Amino acid sequence: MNDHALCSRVVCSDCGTFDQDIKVGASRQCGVCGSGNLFFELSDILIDTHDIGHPPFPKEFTGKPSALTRVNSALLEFVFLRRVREFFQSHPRKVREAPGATILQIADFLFSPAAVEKVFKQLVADWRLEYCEALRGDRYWKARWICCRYYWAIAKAGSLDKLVSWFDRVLRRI
Amino acid sequence: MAKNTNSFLMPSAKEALILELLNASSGSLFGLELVNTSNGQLKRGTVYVTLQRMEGTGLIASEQERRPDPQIGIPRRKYRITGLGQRTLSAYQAAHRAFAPNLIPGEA
Repeated sequence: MNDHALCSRVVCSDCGTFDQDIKVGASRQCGVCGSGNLFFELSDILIDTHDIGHPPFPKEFTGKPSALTRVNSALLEFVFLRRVREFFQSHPRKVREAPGATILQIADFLFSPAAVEKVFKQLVADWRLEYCEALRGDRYWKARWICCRYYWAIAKAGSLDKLVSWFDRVLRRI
Repeated sequence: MAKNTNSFLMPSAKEALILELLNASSGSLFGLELVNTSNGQLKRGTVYVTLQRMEGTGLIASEQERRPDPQIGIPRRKYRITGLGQRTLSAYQAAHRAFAPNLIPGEA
């Protein structure tokens, strides 16, 4: 989704403030509360601006501490975690789609409108609710786990669990 | 062949659990609230499929939540038990008392 014309307005999910048009891919924070959890409105599809796909760690933070640094491991661990946290907080947040947007489009293609309205849209709404709650608490791994959990839930709802359970039985026999 | 409108379909265990939770709440609940209050017996992947089926049979009713303008995001649905659902739940619990008294949760 790189068409600026598709994005009409930006809403902050934390304080509810509206903002003007913004280009897809731009970095933005709410001017009122400073939150990065901004959403585009595109009919009933939310576009999440929080970039969960962060870049790799900086080179100096990869790998285990050396033997010398293990002497002060507790202090170094505190510094390490603090630098990682600062790195995440300073990384500019980019515009991207909200979770479940693509799945909704696929479900709209495959299933009836009633099923999409009462099953898949409700699942995606709950997904986004829990996802945003995790992001507000800066729990990025929790947000990722929520995505995995809802991918599985939507697969079950789409009756794909029979295929997945067969695969699971095969794995258990191995 | 004329459709038998007097037939009674015994609800499944999950449907009965949903009816119990909605009856106990004395109001309406979201699907996610049902999942959280069920102590793991209801799953996110199957609860809305079950709720849609129950709504089709008339055991529950749903409505979109009312949110103040401007609305953002997908509107969620709230579910509440109907009169038919309450009668069905009563019949289910009576049947359990008659044939399997130890299976009804909460009973001493």
